[in-house]
Amino acid sequence: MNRRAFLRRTVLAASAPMIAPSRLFGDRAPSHRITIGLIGMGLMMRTHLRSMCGRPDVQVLAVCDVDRGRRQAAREAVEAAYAAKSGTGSWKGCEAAHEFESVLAREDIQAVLIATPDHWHAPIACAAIRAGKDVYVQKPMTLTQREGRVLSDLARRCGAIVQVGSQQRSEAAFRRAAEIVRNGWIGRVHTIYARLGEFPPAVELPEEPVPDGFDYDRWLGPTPWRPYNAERVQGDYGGGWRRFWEYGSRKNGDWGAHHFDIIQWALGRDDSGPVEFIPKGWEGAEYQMHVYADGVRVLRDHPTRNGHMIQFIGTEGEVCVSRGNRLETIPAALATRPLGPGDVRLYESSDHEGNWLDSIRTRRPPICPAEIGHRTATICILAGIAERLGRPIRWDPVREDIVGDEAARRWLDRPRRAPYVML
Amino acid sequence: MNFVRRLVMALMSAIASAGAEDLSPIVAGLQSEDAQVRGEARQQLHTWTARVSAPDRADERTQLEQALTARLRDASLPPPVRTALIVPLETIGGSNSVPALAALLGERDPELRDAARRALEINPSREAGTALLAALDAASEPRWRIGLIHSLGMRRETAALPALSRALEDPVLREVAAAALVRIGGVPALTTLQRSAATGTPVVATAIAETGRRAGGAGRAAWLRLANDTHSPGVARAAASAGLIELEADPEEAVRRIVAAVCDPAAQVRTAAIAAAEPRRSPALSAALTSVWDRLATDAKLGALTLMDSTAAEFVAVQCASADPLVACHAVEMLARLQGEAAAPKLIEVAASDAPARAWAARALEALAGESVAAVLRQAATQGEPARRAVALTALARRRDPQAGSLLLTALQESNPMVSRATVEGLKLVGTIEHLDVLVRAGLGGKADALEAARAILVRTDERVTAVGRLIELAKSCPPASLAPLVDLIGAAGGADALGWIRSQLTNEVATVRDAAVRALANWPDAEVLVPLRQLVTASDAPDPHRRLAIRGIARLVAAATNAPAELRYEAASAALSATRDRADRVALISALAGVPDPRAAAALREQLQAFPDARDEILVAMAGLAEVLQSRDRTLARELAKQVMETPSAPTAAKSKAEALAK
Repeated sequence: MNRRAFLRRTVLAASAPMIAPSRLFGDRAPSHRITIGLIGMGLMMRTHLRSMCGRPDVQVLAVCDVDRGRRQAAREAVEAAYAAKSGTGSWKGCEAAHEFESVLAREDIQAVLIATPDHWHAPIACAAIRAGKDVYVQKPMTLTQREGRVLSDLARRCGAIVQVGSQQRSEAAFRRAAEIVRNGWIGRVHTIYARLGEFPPAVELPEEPVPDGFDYDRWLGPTPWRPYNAERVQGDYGGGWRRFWEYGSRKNGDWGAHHFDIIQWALGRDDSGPVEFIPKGWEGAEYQMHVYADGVRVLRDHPTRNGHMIQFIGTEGEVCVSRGNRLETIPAALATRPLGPGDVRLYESSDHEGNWLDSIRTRRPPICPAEIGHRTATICILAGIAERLGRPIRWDPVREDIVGDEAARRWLDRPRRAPYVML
Repeated sequence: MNFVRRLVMALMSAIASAGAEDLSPIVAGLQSEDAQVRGEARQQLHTWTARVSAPDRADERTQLEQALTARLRDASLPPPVRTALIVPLETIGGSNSVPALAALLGERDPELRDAARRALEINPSREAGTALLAALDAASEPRWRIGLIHSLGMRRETAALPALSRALEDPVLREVAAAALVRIGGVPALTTLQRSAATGTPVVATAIAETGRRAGGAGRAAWLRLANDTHSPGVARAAASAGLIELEADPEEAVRRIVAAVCDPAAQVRTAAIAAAEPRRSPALSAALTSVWDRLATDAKLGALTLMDSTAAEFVAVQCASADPLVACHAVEMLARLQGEAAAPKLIEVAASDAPARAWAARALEALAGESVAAVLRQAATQGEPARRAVALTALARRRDPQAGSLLLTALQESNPMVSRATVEGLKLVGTIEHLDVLVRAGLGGKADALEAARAILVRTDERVTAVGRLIELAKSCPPASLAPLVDLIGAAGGADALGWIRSQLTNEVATVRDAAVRALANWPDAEVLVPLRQLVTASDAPDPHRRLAIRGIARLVAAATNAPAELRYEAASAALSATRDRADRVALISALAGVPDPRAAAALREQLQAFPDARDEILVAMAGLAEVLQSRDRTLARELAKQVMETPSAPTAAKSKAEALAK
């Protein structure tokens, strides 16, 4: 089966009128518990850790981080959570691993949740799949376009369940917005605004001593060596490592991985993507933009109605949607209009992590599998490449290749620093 | 910024924008001890590279490549500077830069030589591969060899096969060598992997499975061996099985492969096989899967259901009643997909049963498109078992079927509780004001849930004024004793007409109607009702229960109706405070006054503080809140209030609330 055939199946599953609900798993007996390892104990993992420790159907057996202090604190948090649950006052049994390889080598761990900086997503996820694990990987799924293709193909061929952390798919308002667009209730969509914001510039930082217990070489992993500075490795929603091109695509890879994902879903392009990426400033362009083959334009950071995160504009109406279940439509009645027979009903999930766990049990595709995550990450990455090169990029979403720009094509992957070269 | 820094940065900027061939200021900037200058130099180098990398700038690209190459040969430059100068060559490097980069592969500085390796890895010229292979032959450090092997793999250098073969035997290099061979692909790479002494290791076995895809018949043979060897790692067997299923030319053999894989004990094998088998849906596959059904794990059953075609519809229909809820739900989903409209009768049957998938079947009936589905549902709604009729009525309502309203109205007279409940719920969804008359009459005739449906219609309709008019008209023909439910309904609708009519019922001769009218006013959503409520509170002849309802209504609206005039809110609250004798009501009114920006509210609260010391804490919290509300209108009064709150002792719990409010 080729990739497109697989995608059709994925999309078919994703557009199913109903998906087995998690409540069907009434029996959360210990024998049904999924054993997991948590990799990358930084900012994003805080919520995952709390959530996973609180689930009766999950047992966290290992935590992993290159920072000794962090991994020890995480182990203590896991053990304290289980001690409180067991009522015994103490609980031991969570490994604090320095290297992810030791987590993947454990046969008693079924799945891993990866919340490292972006540059480690694909290497760890691929290694996990080859080790027979199922994977939850934070968004954006990969640092480079090629990594995404490799990871998606590997997941399919090796039968792994991979959920990408673009969790807005599991929020009701975003699903509803996508259904309104998909069913044509606002007519033909021609323009979409997505609010991503901006990081401060990635500045050169003075070298600082590497703190004791922090494996900086491994933190850098496949990325070029750069002098240590605490700001460079810091997890920070407003900057930290996210502001450096070496470790991601800045805001395109940060909020873009959420909002572009919803736009892909709403347009029904989960197996495809835009055909052109135009950076801000190109021939006076006021906004960064990408364009689909049918002319639909997505503008980054154009002002939106009432400050919404995403605004879809169609020939017969609008849909605005944000986190916190904020949904506004024009006409207003669209927001509550019920789906009728034959209307597109999108994959329904109200718990992104829970959906992953259910998929591990059923072996059915989760709401945001690797191929969807790859297609979304591709947009983030290509928008970043266009920004970095300062010129538009034409993209063939079928062949997955940049058209007519050999230098830009080289950016579809990034050479990896030895010895962290494995993918 | 000092003068030198400014000068260097200005020079770099001018060069980058002008496209001049002089790298000197940038090189100088890269050597600066000032991080900002170094950063600017990097940025200028990047800008220059990006500009010349454009397709129509070949000459400028060559010039920059030559300039960079010349600098790379300068051994006097510190390694970090030369490393930075290599970075642009990842984007624009061609054959001109290979000799200089190849020379750097022998450098002692590990980051410098690794940067050269990375630039060569992505360099399109053949000589780059030759240089990397030569470096591998000379390399000894494992970390360095790993990088070189990886680069050769990324470039798909077949000349590296002997070196990769040797590397496979080294446990440190095995994984990267296997990955390189996967990347190179083809029969020679596969053969190299198969001849390795480490062929049984998970790393090599998985690599063989991944390489098989681009190795023709040899790849298929390798897959067969892996798929049939139960000692192979699950992931390798998964990839092999998936490959065999995807590429098998013989349909019968493909079916055999699929069946073997979905029966495999390893979950990954089953999952990969089901994904790979998707395009191979056929009657033969359906038959084969049904024949092994009882041997399948639950997840395999779910996958198998997705692989069945319409010839298996009957089998799938049977599974809709499976005791395993997961299987039953997926069977319902698949039946709807396989049969489309024809699935409706079976879905009605399942939805009307006590099977685990009944809710799923009901949802499928809502979603299923087709006029024949509607026809089947309409028929089921009027005939047969009550459970089936209830299911059909519910589905019709949720589908917003044009005939749903009339069918539901007909069913309204049914006494069966299931049908009755479905009817009311359905009318809540699709009923219109045209149905109000019938519903209200049924309600007044004793069918209480019909009034529920009428209320839902009133809340939902855009024609509320018309609806109220009809209800008032209807009330005229009702005996006074049965008017109370109508008062409730008209109250739920709201609006000026409704308010006027309800106020007129305050003097109705029937006590239950008067009670209903007071109740409606007390629950009124808008502040316009504060005046009649205040009249009720102060009326000397008002019964005590009515007065209490009115007081509570005032407390609710004074707190909630923040857009109403402060004067109106204050006067209502003040009247209610004077009338109440209940502590809870008093506290509610005091709390409501905290949000009324009227100086008289402050005075009222102070009076309450004096008169009702048992409510001191609640009053102090309200005063703190009022101080916050007043600060933008009457700062002096707000400060006085805050001071009084601070100086008056209170319980610890109230102190916290006070402090929070005052902090604002």
